[in-house]
Amino acid sequence: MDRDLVERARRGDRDAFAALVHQVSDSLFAVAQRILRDRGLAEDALQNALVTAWRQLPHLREPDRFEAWIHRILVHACYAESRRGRRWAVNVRVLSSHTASSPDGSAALADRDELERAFRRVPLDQRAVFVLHHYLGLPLVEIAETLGIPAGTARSRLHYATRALRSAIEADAAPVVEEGRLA
Amino acid sequence: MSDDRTFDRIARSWLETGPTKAPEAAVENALLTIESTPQERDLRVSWRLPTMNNMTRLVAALAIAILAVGAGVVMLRPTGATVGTGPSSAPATSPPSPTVVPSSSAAAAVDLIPEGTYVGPTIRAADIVAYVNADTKLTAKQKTFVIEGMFAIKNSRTWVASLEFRAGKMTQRQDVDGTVNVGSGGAYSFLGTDTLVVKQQDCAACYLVGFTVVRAGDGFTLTPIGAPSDESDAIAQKYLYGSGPFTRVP
Repeated sequence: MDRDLVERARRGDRDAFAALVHQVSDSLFAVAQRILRDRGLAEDALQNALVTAWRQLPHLREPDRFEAWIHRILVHACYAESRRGRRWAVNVRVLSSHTASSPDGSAALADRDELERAFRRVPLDQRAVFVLHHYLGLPLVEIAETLGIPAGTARSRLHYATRALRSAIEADAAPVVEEGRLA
Repeated sequence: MSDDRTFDRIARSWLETGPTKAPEAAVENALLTIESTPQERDLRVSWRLPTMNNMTRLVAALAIAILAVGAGVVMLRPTGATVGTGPSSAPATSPPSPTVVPSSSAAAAVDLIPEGTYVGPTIRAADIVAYVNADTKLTAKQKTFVIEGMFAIKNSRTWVASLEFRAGKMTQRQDVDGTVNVGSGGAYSFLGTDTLVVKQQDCAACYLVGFTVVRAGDGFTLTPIGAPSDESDAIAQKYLYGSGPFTRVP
């Protein structure tokens, strides 16, 4: 992240902020979509997060932490969008056509479907930690810093989300799984 | 599922599916909104009614000190019948007995403002803008600061102040067109039966701000103690705290 851009944006330079937005918006949207599992809600969360970030940018004390800071804003925007609960009824799940041809063949369509259903039952704060860990690849300590929560809380949220998803897959797959399919 | 690594691989693979590019329209909409959205000022500077000059601070400190002494006298005085009769009064001959505490004593001050959130009236943003623009003591730059920095109401429709009292902390918020900005916070306490004292937090030189509280139904009105140090300070006091009555939110 360009520290100079962050500094300029902090001082009110809208062009600098727009440049930052174009650098981070794809990642932010991808994270929001994965937490919320709804494209429309993710779009709203992204927009609200960007506007909030602009407004609150003067309060950012460490420009080098811009990405973590804006991800934190995004996660809170996701919480807010979820509470508003719009468009859940019209949300359509689309399974990727690439599903069956994943490189190691381990992620079967059935697993994904179960993951999708199970993930929607996981509380949002657990989903956020799960996505930041498995999608962005952030270590738990960094997730805790990003979300402003204790490391132990981040660990327990990841644990509960993982347990829920594993249970869902195992419960569904156990009777029919072919030996060695997941190895 | 055989092990953690297998699950992690499945989870990562599952998360990798799905959109990875933000819709142009969403980004453009956000940037358009930002075009007309002011940034917040640093809370430590803009929300602590910071422009008190030394004389005002002295007056405020004296007023608070006097109130504190007065409250102390009220709280520490004996509750028996000999109160106020002077040192030459004869010793009480009757045995001590439970005394009914007068309703105006310190006990009442504890519940001066019960914990909760209190919301002021909804004010048209245009009215505040007009009030600020009509103020002949403010320069154009100051007016811009007040409208865009202090209240963030440029091109907005409504503005509402709210005060939350909880666990010894007062948090002031402003709601502009349905969006809440946290304004400031501070530890609060009550002196006597009608005075609220707030110690501002997160500021370079924290100090006390006093308010006279008048209960009104389920809410209250606040009157800042001490004269504002300048015109923007006066406007802040008028709307941020003086826009009441503040009514308790259920």
